[in-house]
Amino acid sequence: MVERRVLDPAVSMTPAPERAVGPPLASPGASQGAVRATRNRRGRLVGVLVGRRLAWTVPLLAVISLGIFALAALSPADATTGFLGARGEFTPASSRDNVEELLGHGTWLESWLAWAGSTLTGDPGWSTAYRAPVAEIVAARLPWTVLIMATGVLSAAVLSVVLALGVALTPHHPVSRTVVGGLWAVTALPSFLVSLGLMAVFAIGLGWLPAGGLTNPGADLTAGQVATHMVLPTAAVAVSQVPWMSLHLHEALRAQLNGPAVEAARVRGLSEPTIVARHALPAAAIPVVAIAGTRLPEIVAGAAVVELVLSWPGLGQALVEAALAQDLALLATVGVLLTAASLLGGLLADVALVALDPRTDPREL
Amino acid sequence: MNSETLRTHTTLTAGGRAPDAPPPARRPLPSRQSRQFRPSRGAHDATPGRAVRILCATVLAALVAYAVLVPILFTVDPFLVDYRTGAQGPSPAHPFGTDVAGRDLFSRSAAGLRVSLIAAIAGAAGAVVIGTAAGATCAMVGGRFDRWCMRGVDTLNAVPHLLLGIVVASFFRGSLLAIVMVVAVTHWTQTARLVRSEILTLRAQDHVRAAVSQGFTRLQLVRHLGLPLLGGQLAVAAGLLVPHAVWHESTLTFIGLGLPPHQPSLGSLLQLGQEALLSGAWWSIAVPAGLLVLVTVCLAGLLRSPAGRS
Repeated sequence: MVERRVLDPAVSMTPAPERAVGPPLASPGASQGAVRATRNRRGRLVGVLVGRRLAWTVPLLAVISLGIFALAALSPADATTGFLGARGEFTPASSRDNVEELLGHGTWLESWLAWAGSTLTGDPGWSTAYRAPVAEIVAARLPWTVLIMATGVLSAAVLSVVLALGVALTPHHPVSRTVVGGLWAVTALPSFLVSLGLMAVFAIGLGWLPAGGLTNPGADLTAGQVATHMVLPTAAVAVSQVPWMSLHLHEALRAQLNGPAVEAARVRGLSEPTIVARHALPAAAIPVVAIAGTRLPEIVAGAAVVELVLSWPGLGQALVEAALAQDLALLATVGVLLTAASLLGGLLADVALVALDPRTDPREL
Repeated sequence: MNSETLRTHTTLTAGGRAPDAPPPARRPLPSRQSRQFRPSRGAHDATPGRAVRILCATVLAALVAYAVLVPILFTVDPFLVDYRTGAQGPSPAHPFGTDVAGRDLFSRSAAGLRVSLIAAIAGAAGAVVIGTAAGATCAMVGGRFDRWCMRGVDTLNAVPHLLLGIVVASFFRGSLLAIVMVVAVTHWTQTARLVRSEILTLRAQDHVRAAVSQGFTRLQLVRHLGLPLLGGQLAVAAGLLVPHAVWHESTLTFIGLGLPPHQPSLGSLLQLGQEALLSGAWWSIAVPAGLLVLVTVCLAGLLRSPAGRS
């Protein structure tokens, strides 16, 4: 904007006949056209980025599921240890049979080919742990996982913006220092411990919230039931994500608030709230989004553990149950699905980064 | 720190102390702006202060002493089951209380902490060894091999480590070695990137080019010029991986995929503690949880880099 204001008189001063061939350099039409052309080019580059990532995703998922089958074949467990456990711990009697059944019809490579083939046609097999088709289990559990992950990450983002803004605007207040110290301490907590702590305090100590499950035992599946039961899992996901989000956002905000862009905005006489909301915050969000892409696998894995501790009926809980019961078909399917989720999430974060920050080059992501 | 600020600083401080006094504390000089507006350490300070580091180091030393000495000095068998003294709170005979089966939690926590620390340190060391080998190989071979390797590293990074750990551990149940291997196999990528970039910058330096012109082989270059310089960074990288490895070990064991429940480790203690929590035995979860938090917080506080935990 500033640039155009400076350029306009210069353009009007140039003699008209010499510039008659094309539109004036800084006329609205020309700059809009240039912007559109850039946008189109960036759009194409984002398309290439998405295509390239998806092209990588498919073989990676194949390799991961192949690895799961190879490990299952390599596993030292047999029917006896399946019954007694590898080191004498007691496991369900049928657990090793599941693997034997899936692997028993040939080499592990043939079993994998059979599994991959039927998965591609929409039938990933039979879960021996839940005694139901894998597709049914996944379909029933996927929405609940998405629900707590989405609400957890969203509430973490909102809370982080509030915390980071508060700390960045009042850096010397004792409360700000305590908050930063506390956030650093929380980064050192694994998510299962966060879930256990929340459960101990809010469900058992105070008795405010249910300790686990989707509904009370025997209750109907209503929105009210789900709303009260999802508070703790959502909070557990959020608490594990708030520290890194707010610390990085705080760091970026501090750099922005002391930076030349904000100084220029102050010189132009903009009000402080406008500067923070329209200038500092969007610019500070860029590095956080970039880091979010690399953090996503951790969020997915953390949510899996949260589901287990708070008995939330999602995919993560199914993965752990499948691992404990050596339910190979379910383990491979859910493992591949959760990996795909984190890969796609990383891709989304990168696309968001390109949209937010015109300086990023999609070819380098 | 440029020479001008250094000179200003010296003239400012020289009057106050004897000429042969030791130089002032080696804290980086604040910029002019921060000297004006931030007279004291602000809440934003990214690196922990000296006091925090000393505190963290002391607590860590105490924890290690607890883990090492208690199994030697305190003669209560951590495996001794006595149902007459089950689920008792802290008392002089059992400072941390007992679990449901009457096992003493003071000695069990020490044994568990020791197992978890050993597993974590072994896992972190394994990750650093793999990462160093991979990073050095990529940097020295270079070209297309390097590009593909780094692509592979990125892709492996995009896979959730813990899920990979759950899958691998499920097929090798009850084995500490499997958990150590899982941690090593999933955490080497950052070290590989670090080593690779360090060696690439090193390669452009004059003494290395002189060595190349003298006919050093690639292996000799890495062995004699690369790795000795990287020692300190690798130690920090390994230290930063230890809290992560403690998490992975405790999480996998907590889930039920690690050590069997009667063998003490922080994860198995927490697993039993979760069950006991529902019956009101808060001490059986508070102690292992507190130990886990102290270890990870203190390690992070001691080694914390401004960029945050890795």
